[in-house]
Amino acid sequence: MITKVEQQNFIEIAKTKLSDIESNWLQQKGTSVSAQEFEKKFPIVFSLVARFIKKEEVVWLEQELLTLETIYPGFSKGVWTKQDLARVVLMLTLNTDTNKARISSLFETAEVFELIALYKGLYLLENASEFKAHFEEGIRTNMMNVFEALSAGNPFAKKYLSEAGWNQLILKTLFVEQKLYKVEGIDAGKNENLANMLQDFVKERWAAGRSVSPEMWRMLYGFLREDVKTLIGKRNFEGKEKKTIDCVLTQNEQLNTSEFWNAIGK
Amino acid sequence: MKYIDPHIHMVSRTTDDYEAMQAAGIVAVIEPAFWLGQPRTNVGSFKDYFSTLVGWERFRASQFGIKHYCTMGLNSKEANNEAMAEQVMELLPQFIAKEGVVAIGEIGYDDQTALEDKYFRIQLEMAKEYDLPVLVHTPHRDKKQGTLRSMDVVKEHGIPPHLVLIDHNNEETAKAVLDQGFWAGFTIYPKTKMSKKRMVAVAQQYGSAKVIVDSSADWGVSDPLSVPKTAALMLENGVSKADVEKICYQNALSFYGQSGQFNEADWNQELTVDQADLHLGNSVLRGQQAEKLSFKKEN
Repeated sequence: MITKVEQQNFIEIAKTKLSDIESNWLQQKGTSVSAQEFEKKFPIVFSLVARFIKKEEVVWLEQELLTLETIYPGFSKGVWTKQDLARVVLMLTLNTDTNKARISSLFETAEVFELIALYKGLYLLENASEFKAHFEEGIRTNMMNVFEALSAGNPFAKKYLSEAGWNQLILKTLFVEQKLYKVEGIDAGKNENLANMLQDFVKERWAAGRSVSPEMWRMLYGFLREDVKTLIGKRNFEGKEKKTIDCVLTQNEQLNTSEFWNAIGK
Repeated sequence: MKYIDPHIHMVSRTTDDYEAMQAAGIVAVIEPAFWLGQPRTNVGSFKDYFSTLVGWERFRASQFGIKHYCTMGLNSKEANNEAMAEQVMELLPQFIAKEGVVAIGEIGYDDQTALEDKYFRIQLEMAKEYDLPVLVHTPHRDKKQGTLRSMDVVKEHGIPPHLVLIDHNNEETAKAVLDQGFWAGFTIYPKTKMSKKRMVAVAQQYGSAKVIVDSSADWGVSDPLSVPKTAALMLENGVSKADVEKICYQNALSFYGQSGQFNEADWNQELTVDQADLHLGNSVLRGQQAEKLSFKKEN
């Protein structure tokens, strides 16, 4: 669980990434109004970020990333805009007693970029675990930039989801052809149920004359079933896929290093 | 030539339409909040509809290389359900503040009832509060009087005409609208409202200064390619290219650009990214490629 000190550190770094004008605007709308007024205006201020803070992607210093990774594992694998940072600061300004109601209500009306910031920010809430259902709902989204906010560099899933929820995230990440190596905690998230689902998935894809990302094998080596092994024997592979499958069949030691798999993903 | 369709209800259109629109040169669309062809019965339907406009529909358009914006408002027909309209007024500010909401609209009169008048005025005040332009829908019936009345009410609320687009004009209303300094929208429908041929005559008579063409395509008989088709007919009939460009692109950009949220760079930038997609490791691009693929897979 995130601590108050970690939250504060995150906010401090985030604020240095905004211009003076942006930072003042945020201050004026957030911390310098009464808690009661802020609660009331929260959804509108959250939206207005779009007009007062730039959407540009933040460029980080090495040291900042090191600090942010300790607070938010996977941080450097995601893309953060200045608007994302400002919106997360606003989320953290809400009182923990009432943030569940406020944020839940905002989820119901949020536009695309608001959803992205919301899903990124959940992990940083002290009561993040109360938002599990929201995160699981997010996995069902059809908007792929929103899905990416859940899958790429977001530590929430590994920390708070049940195995079933986590497995849905991984299966969908592959299904919609997003990058597995960007999922935080990916190697710690291997499990037999997932490996079985993925083997059914690959059989289905092959039957349809389609392929799957070689990243998939990251989640199922060690759980390889005989039926899939037989199918592999009947197929020809090339390039990265061949290299990966050869390693899986020979149980190459490289398979146990994340560097190997990250290179496959990139 | 590039086109903007500044009035089209994409939630009612198919992906074939999006493809055809993109191929015809439409780079951006504005979707005014409207009714669904039958009245909603509770405020929750508005909430979900409004969030579709800034969520799924915007994403869907992006799949086809079209930038999607919207206007927010309670339409005149449904303003007649007072209990529900009150709740919509409570809900609206949350959506008005969102990214890519470029005006309050379409608002105005349908039957010109007292309730329509009430909510038209409340929403004009919201436009002032949030510093946004206004898109005014003019009625099908008693159009001329309804149009004149709409303009009087706008002026009564102290909103300058350059911030207001009066839509669905015809030969009877155009002069009064333009003379008073408002922007004049012309909806080109295959059968009703304006036809393409009549539009050519209007362009010849009034020039291009504040004239805007749109399709208002929705769930009824309508044509999502009205803007490029009308442009072609205007060119064929001797309207200058410069005038056609203003009527079918630049004027919409100038009018909605007043919101601060409708900029040419929004679509020009993305086109550059598209063309350079093989060698630029740009994050916008990565998103786009993935979106396109996954959209097709998911459906």
